[in-house]
Amino acid sequence: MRVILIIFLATFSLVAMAQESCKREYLINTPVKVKLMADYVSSSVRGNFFVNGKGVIKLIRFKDSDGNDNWSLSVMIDDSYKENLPTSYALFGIDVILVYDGEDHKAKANPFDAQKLKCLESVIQNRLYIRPPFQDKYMTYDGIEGRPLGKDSTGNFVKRIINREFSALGNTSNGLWVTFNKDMTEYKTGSYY
Amino acid sequence: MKKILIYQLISILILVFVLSCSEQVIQNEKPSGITVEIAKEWFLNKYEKPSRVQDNKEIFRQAFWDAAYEHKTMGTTVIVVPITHIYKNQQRGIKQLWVYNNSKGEMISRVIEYIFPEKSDRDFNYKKFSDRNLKNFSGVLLIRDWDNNFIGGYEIINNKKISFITEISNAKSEKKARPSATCYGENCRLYKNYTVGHPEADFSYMSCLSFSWQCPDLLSFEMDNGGGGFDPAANAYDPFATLQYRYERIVSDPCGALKRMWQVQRNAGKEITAWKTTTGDMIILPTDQNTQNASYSTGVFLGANGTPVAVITNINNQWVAELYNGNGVSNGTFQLTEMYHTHPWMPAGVSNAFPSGDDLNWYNSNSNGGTINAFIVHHDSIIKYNGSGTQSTVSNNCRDY
Repeated sequence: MRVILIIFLATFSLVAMAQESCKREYLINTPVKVKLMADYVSSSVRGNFFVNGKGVIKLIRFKDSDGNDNWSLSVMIDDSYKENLPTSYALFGIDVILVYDGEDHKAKANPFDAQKLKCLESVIQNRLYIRPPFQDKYMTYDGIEGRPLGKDSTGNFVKRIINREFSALGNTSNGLWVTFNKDMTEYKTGSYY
Repeated sequence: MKKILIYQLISILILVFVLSCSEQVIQNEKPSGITVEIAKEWFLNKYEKPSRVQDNKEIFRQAFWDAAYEHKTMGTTVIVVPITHIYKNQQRGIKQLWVYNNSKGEMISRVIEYIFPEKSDRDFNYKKFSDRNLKNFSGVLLIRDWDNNFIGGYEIINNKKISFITEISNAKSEKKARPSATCYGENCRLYKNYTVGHPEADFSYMSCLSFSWQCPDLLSFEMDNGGGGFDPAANAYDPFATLQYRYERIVSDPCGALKRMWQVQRNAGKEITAWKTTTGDMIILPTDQNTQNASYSTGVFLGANGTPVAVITNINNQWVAELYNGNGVSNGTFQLTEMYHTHPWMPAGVSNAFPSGDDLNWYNSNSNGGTINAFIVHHDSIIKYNGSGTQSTVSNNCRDY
């Protein structure tokens, strides 16, 4: 019994310590925000943005020139958040929301904090893919399995470095721009391009 | 012998008569005195914002003067200008702008819409349009002024005007549009529910095979030749290009290339990416992979048969485009200095003139490494941005409206 109690206390204290390192916000706290987030999650699921069930929601909050609160929402499926840790996190159902303070649609840079990262990892669990380190990818059109791209001056088939990392411009992560009115009772949305 | 002389005399008389008739026809033709340059200058001076209807921001039009040419129809030389006509973000109809001197010698303009008989042919398939033998056009012409007011129209079978269209009504609003004047008899007027055009509309027409064309021609074209003949004008340029499986290289015309990008963006309903070469050319990439709010900028772009037509790679911090004809034959390798992509035109009050998260990710990616100048082709301006999101407006986007 004592052993169980010790294990329980130890676990509880570890969780408490971890949670202290990364701030949780009760962000989705009004019916308007609940509706917004429910719609967003629903559209992300329908659009298969949570690939194979992986993904968290990235939320950048900023004020526009009129002083209105704005949110920039997108789905993040890899652990690239480690390159710039969020200000805080929030929960919505089973989904984790990584919250960034930002400016003009962009997240501000936060200093790296190992304790904070550890805390966030315990919150995010296995919701994200591990992002592999950057590596060039080579493509060879040898005329057998691929179609001939052509030959170089020495008569060899062309070999090219192809890297499709971030080859897409625009909106491939269900980016949504939300602008609230002054008293946060209404909002309008727009896509990113 | 005497009979032969008489026959010869009759033949000479007939020949003289025929030649005199031919001479008469030639004498009736008026010198047009119009060129593409004259027409363009007149048109741009007359319309402050010639590519957009002032009171309806849902309509967006663009005239491609670089593809304008002289065309002769119904005895009159007209300057034919391909135009796009976008209504609620969709290309609507195969239309041309005609500029010419009317029967009074005054320069006027008309917007001509070609409507093919089969509904399946009305889906703005330019290839069908250009492949057709337009010398035997059958279908409907609707004629409007640049302010989109309906003026008249014709039903045409094998280049013969069969009936004159007197009014159209919008299928949804039931708002009727009529010619500005009438000069035909009511007893010669028939009504028929026949849905045509984009937006779809009903039109009524009069079908009088025996009546003079003088009146309808004067009403709609302000041409006094009449006679029933009509020569459709094929476009010299593909205003409906979507570049799904092909690229375009615009040589030494950056402004024209930007306009072309915007045009393809509107036609395809997708974002468009282009690269500028070190020699100032612009390469507009195929659009097959793109969507309405995302476009691909690098990698391999395949043609319709699955063979590469463009490869965009970064070699030692230098972006390079390799172009192919789709069958493995090189069309050249080009060093690249700037990357452009479009953001779609938005209604008033909605802004998208800033880089998205993916735009910034691309800029900051290892494959780019911040080595390229990146631009957004926005409907009002060209916006330069960098990896931190800092942006600046560098110019207008060359659109002539």
